[in-house]
Amino acid sequence: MNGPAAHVAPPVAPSPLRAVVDLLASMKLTIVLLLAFGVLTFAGTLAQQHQGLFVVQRDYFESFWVVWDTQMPLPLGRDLTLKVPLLGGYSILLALFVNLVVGGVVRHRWNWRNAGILVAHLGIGLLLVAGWVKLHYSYAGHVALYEGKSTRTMVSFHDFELALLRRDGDRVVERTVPATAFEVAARAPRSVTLDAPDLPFQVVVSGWLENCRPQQKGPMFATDMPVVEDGQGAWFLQSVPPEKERERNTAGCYVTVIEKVGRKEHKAVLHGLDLRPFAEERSPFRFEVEGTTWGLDLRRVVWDLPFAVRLDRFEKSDHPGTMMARDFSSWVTVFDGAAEGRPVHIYMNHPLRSHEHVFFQTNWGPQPGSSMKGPPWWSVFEVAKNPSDAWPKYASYVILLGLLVHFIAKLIRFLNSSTRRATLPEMS
Amino acid sequence: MMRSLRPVLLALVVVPACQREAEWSPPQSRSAEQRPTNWDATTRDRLGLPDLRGTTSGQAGGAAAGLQFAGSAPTGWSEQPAQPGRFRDRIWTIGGAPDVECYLTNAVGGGVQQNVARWFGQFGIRDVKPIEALPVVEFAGKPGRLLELSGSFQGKAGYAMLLAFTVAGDSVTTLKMTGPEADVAAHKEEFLALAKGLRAASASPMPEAPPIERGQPMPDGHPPIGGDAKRDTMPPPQPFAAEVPAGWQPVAGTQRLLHHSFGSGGEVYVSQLGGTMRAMLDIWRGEIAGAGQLSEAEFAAVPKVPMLGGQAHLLDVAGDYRSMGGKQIPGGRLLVAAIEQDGAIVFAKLFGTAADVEAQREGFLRFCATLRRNP
Amino acid sequence: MRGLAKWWLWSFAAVLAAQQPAPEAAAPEVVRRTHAWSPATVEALATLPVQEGGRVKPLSAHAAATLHLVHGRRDMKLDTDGDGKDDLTLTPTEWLLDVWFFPEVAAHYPLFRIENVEVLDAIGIPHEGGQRFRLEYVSFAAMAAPGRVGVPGQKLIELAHQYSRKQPLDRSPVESHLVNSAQQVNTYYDLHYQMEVLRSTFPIEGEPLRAALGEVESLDFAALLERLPAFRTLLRENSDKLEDPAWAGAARLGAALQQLSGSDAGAALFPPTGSVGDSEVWLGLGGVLDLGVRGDIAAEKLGMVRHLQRAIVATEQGPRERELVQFRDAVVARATARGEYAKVELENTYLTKSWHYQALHWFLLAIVVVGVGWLAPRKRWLWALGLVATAIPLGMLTWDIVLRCLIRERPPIVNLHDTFLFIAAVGVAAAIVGEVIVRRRFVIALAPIFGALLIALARAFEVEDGKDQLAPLIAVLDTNYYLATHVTSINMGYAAGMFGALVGTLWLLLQAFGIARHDQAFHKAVVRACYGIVAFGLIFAVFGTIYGGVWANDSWGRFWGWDPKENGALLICIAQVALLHARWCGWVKDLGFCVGAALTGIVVAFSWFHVNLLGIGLHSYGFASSTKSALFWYYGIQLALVAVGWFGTVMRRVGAAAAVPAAVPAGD
Repeated sequence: MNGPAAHVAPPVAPSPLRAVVDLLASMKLTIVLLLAFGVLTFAGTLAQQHQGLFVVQRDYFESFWVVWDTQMPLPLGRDLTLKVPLLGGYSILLALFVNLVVGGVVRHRWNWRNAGILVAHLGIGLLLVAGWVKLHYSYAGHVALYEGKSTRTMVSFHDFELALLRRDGDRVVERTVPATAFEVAARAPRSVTLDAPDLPFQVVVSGWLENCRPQQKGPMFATDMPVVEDGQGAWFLQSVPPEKERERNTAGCYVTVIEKVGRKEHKAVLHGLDLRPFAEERSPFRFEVEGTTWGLDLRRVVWDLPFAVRLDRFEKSDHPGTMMARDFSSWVTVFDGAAEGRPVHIYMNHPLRSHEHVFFQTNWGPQPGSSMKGPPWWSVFEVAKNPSDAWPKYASYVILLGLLVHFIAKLIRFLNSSTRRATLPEMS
Repeated sequence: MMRSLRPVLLALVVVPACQREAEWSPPQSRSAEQRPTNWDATTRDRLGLPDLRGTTSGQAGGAAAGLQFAGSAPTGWSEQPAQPGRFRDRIWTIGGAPDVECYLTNAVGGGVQQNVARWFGQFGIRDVKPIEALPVVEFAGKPGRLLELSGSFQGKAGYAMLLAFTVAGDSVTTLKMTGPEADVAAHKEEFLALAKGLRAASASPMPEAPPIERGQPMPDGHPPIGGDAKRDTMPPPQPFAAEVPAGWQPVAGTQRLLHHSFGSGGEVYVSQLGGTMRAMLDIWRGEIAGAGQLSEAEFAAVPKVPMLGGQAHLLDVAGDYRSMGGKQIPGGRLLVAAIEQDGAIVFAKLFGTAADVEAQREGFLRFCATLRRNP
Repeated sequence: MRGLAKWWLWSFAAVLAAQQPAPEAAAPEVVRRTHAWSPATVEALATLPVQEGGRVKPLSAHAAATLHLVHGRRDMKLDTDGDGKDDLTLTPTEWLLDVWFFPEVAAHYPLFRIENVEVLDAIGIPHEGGQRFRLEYVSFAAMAAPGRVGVPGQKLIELAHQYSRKQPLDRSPVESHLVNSAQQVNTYYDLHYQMEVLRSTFPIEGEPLRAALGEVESLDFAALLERLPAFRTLLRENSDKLEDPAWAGAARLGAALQQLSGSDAGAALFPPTGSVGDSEVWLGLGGVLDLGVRGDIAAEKLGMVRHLQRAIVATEQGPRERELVQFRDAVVARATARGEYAKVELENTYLTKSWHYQALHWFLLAIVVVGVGWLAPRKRWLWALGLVATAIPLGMLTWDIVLRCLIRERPPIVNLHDTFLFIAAVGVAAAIVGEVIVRRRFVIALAPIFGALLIALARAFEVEDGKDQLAPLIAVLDTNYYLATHVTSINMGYAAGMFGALVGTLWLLLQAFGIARHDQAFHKAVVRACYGIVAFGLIFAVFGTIYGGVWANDSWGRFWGWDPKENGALLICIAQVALLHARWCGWVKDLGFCVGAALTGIVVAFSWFHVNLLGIGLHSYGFASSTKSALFWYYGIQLALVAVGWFGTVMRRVGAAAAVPAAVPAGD
């Protein structure tokens, strides 16, 4: 990419297809997209002050377009409040990727002079592909374990699901629906009805709340929310304003199970509180239909791991005389076939990578300053399943190599060039 | 990305309809290991709500509130009626060992350190072991600690104590067995089995939500930008509650319970200590210059006020105040309402200048009368 | 417990200070300082190892950091003769020794900087209208003396408690100031009372207690420590008798010890007796007492306490300093045996020599030398002299950075303060190399300015931040590999970005004001240098940014999280890539490129500092307010320079084109 020539279309009258390809290959398009990306990044960074990381990530960087609500304080004490439509990160990066492939690689002159640039572009391309794969094919959650405890599942940070459980001896047979399906039920009187031909009942979900807490209704006060009585008491959900950090929200909803035969109804309040690592069991709303025991559980999305993990030991040390953690690490045993398992040490910046899953030491408890004191400790791992886990690392090496080759070659050419010698001042 | 678009598309397509059909995923069978399930939870348990009985019934100390343990006694043990007034929520006796007492105490306040110190104190041991040094045992399905002490217990030599406890916030749940050393040793296994087998029949919400707190500083590993990384905005749960008179300012960053300040330099707080009432009253009196120790007659004449469902001693002394911590209030006055409960002394203490204390006396007595343990 | 004791002791402090009449207005306080520390003692005590903030450091460093924090300055200036002018300057070590050994005198030093009259009103400190009549510094005594609305210090802490519940971004400037001042007063409070227990005596009441501890009325702290084993035995053997009135004295002493033990504030002064492997945690006086309550205290530690106590209670300066130095020698001996002393002297030397501060002066000198070189452009030796004059402070600065690395055993950058020094060194070094290649004098002209500016900023930031800049790292940063790769790389990117902005701005101004306008080759060389710097910066910015993601992927499980700091780094990359592509496709020529490079400086500043201020309010008031205003000043000045340069260049070209229609402009 040494000069304008690389991107200039030939002078002959172009066919429409040709014109499109030319546009896609254009370096000017690159610049426009980069500037749009810069504005979006700036806007998204500022927006995090008001909207929190999760929402901004979803609305700005993983979307096709977004309306930026500036809310920018100006030096003179007034806020700049504008609504600016912007291209979202998904569109910009997709377009940049096409532009990069067509203009930066396919249409680029393949010669030694451009080798560095070509390699760097390939690296950037790999990075973008890695991001795309991560967005569409990865999921992440966490595992929290007390010492001595083991698990076979990981739990989402943000997302909820409704699980329908049928008791089958020791086992359960479960069906799930992601909670995104219930967002339409956030406004009364809307509801979502769940049905399947082989089920003897329908489940109607209503009164969806993104963040709420359950309450027992006493005789002395009234509430606007629906109240469910079940013989043990009267219960309702109290809405709580959603938190900026989305993982702090606990969703809740009302469910009505309607039997297909006889139209008998079972009503309940569900709340997605997750007490891991204190409570490992889930307690579903239980109901009986035709002699079978069923349960409904609103929970953070659960994924099964391809192996079991047991936390053997958690250790942390503080900087002496302070409560500032110097390091913390976990010794776990991974059971993925062999009966006795294999021991693994997970610590800061040294995750466990196994069966496409990566375990990162991310936290522990009880934290200093909280009302509980350790030991016993629990350890928290963030768990990610990401097929493109290591690609960015390779991409960074490729890009570095490309840029070094290019700019060092340029520097050498410059040092040997006649221009430099011509411009050197004379000194005595 | 598509996920975020979905609601928008849905809204466009489905807006006219009031209801929308969503689909169950195909049924999948899961093992108990994958989906540990408690099918028999009560609604309260399922929703993680605390039991409100303690506060509604106004029971002494509200000790009946909180966890109810469902566990069966080892063979040879027989369960006795609970004595919630004595903080004994389940009581067992052992046939053939009449001197052994074993009982469960639910969620007693005061903080683990003070409680541990109190237990050591019951054996006259000042050299309190750090909690970390105690062995871990399973107690009511949670990791707990085991304390074993022996020596002279409440004046009885050759005694031993086994005590399993778990901590939730400032409250400590204990299973305690005391008796002659030989008896206690003989029934240790059964004691541990009982501790392990106990189950919370009603789980109260844990003091700390599961650790999804990811607010670590600079996740991409940048140099720290200064400032403390995180500060708890939520105060720890208070084991006590009471009606606080207007004009009392809460004191932040304190270890004391319901700690408030008022007037110029006046303070009031609730705490819990080991020891006997008589000795403690004298120690408090010692903070006022010239107030000597109580004679037998004076001790008997100390007025009583209602507190925590019982009658508390009310100490009222005026003079130059100097606390053990060195705080001085010339022309001060000290009010302490103290009541013995479960071998500890729970007290509310108020001090300040004589004028301030006079102004606060009414409020303080109301404060004591309304003092209750939180569930 | 500490918070509580503090609360109680406030009125105690009020009683102390009540003997001084409360000033009607904050008139200049005359400090009655009758003692002086001998230089030898100060020098010896400067290298007294203490443990604070998770590391062992020289007392000089602890004193400097504390003085920074509470006073906002590196020294304490006093007016001892009441003429309204400062006539004595104390080093941090001298000041700290004054606070420990003469707390009543030191309490009258002008200490807490109050910048807002409303703050004084809020806490009831009298002042003269709105005038700044030496209002800035309020003494601890004034904080502790009863004022119009109670004790100001107490009022301050009450108000701060109230406002600290608000999010930092939601606080008004006065509220932020109050919170900040309360932290300072709290810190000083700990220091003021740190040695109090050594001045106290403990009453020995009751026959049983006297029989066990000796027939005395009272014991001082060290004597009590010695007798703790006897006291422990006494309590253990008589636990059932403690209710007996005759034993009340023992019970009271036990209760008092229980309250005192373990309650420590400030630096820990007593190293554990064993090796580092046995225990890393040093003890304060409360900790030593706690140790004595639980078991036996080693004779060595008792000896240290005894020396310190004798120094505290001594009535004459000679014996006081002798005991103090003996205390210091005992601690040094133990710390040396534990292998914790090696870096203490190094750090003290580092602080005393302050190489980067010296470099600042040399850079200022280099600016003059290079300026003289400009007057005689054809003198090669002057050019060389300019290079040397810049290389000398660069050497000092580099040595300063190396020492920091040695003390911490870390790569050069682990906190924001380090970035200033590192970026200064990299920028100046690159400029010297560039100058040798281009030989156009302008690069070397900018280098000392760049170096001096950044060192000055580093020092301003250190005061503003008020923290130990050599403090140990939180767990996630504990990786020398990524600190050395990602952090170093991204900061080289910042350095290049800032220097590129400087060169771009220079070109714009040269053009606008027609400086050396006949030397086209010179102007071309400036643009080339700018291009080279931007390209150089791009390599490091891109690699640093992506490698930051790689680190995040290893420690947090995600490569990229659109976190503000990540976005800031990305913005630099985007700006530089866009600029280079615009140049390559011919959208911009010299003028456009230099405008772009100059504006990239704003992007770098935003990424380097501003994103840290957006955040979820972790930052102290001082940092947030003045760093933010400094940033806005920079944005304003940079934008103004670009505007002037651009407008001037365009006007000049229009004029030139009008005058000589055939002339070809130098740029686009």
